Amino acid sequence: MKVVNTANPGTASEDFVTGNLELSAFLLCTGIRWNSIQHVCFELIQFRFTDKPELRKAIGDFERGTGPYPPAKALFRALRLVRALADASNQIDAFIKDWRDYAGN
Amino acid sequence: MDKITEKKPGRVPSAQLPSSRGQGYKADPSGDHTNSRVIGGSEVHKIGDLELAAFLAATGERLKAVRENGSGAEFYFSESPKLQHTIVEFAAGAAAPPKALFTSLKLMTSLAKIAVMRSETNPKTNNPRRVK
Repeated sequence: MKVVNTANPGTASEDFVTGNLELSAFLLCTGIRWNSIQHVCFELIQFRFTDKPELRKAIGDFERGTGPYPPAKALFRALRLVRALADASNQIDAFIKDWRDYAGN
Repeated sequence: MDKITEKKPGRVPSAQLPSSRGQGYKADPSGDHTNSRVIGGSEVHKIGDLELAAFLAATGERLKAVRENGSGAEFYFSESPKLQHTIVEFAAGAAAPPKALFTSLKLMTSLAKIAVMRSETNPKTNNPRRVK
């Protein structure tokens, strides 16, 4: 886990980037939404969140196992969703690469 | 390998459910649970849902066996009133430590894969897909 400056010019906020799908599912369950999904390389997806105190608290709760837990069913459902998004993002990248190869770009 | 036998009706008492959580659930008064089996002399409860199995394992229920069933895997937990209670709690939206849940889910997934692989490589294993 690391905090990096956002790659988007013109935005002042810092982003938190993680490739941990389980953490991303937990954050989704606790009401924290990601800004974007970035395909890094083969089957490696990163979720980008706006860094704010609620995010830090949720990450700490996840790591330490403290705080009120989300329902187990919701957690599993969020994990399925996050995995599906990661898979979709991976496939979209493959389509774009195939098209670029076809078009000669 | 322990032998799995169908449980006879009436050997498991009716599910002991808390009044607040058990509303809407109708336990069979005869005590006949279709998911109940006997493995190695002890009563077990068959769970076909991977996520429910992960929740049960994460909350301390005892996993007795894993078997391949043709389309996936079945998990057998020691039968007890607490198990029935935990199953109902899961359906009602119970929570558990997230890391323990995810670790348990990965473990159950691995066990299910191993059970399927064993049934495919060992023709002596009870494999419904091979039955014609």
